[in-house]
Amino acid sequence: MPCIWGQHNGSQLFCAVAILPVSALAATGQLTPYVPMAVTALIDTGATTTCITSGLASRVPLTPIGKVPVHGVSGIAHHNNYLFYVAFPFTLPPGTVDPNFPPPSPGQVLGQIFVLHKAIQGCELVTAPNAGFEVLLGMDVISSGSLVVQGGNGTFSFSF
Amino acid sequence: MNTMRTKQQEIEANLEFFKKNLPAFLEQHRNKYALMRNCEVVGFYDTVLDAQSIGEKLFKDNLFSVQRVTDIPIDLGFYSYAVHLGAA
Repeated sequence: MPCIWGQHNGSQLFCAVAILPVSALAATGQLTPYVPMAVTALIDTGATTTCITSGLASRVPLTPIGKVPVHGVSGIAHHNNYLFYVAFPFTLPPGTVDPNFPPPSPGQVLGQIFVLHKAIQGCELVTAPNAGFEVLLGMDVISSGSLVVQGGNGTFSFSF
Repeated sequence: MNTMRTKQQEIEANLEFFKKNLPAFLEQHRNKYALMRNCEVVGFYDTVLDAQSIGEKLFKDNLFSVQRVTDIPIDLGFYSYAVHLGAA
């Protein structure tokens, strides 16, 4: 069972994720040739659904599939929604050798990515310019695994 | 970019039709996914992946949208009220 681990700041949980178009995952479950980009996500147990910024949707790239009603400060508004997979990227420790790949060039490290095999129908959100994240990781993703927040050492883990 | 605008126009037009007919759709198709084109429902499907993949097979120009048949809005919790999320 893959497990991600990180440190929290006592008030918010952030982690690195990659957003993949559904076409990136072949019917075999294998990742097709596609270079995912890592972005920062805010883990939010108060959000029912995962959301991404329109800027990230453009970069992935994703095309909206429809609209969904979303609670906001001024009532209910309809936002574009997208179909995607959420993945969790890791960098492997320096010096790690994988026989399936050529050794990394100087300054590069090998990485690994774990894909949550659940299609997410996520909606678009607008973040403040200094929000520091592009993905709001909601309960549709969190409830697929086990989230543990530790107060003593300021860490969290998410296994799925 | 022009294709993207057209896709967005298709989504907006289908949404208006969908909102008007939502009470009727809810009676028989609650929580299903409506595949829509030209302000008409092509079919209702159990999963969003089914609706999307059938839409891609049927409409090579990608001019369709998928709407979940629900009257329950997404709740973003605290974040809903922290930042204005834009207009409908």
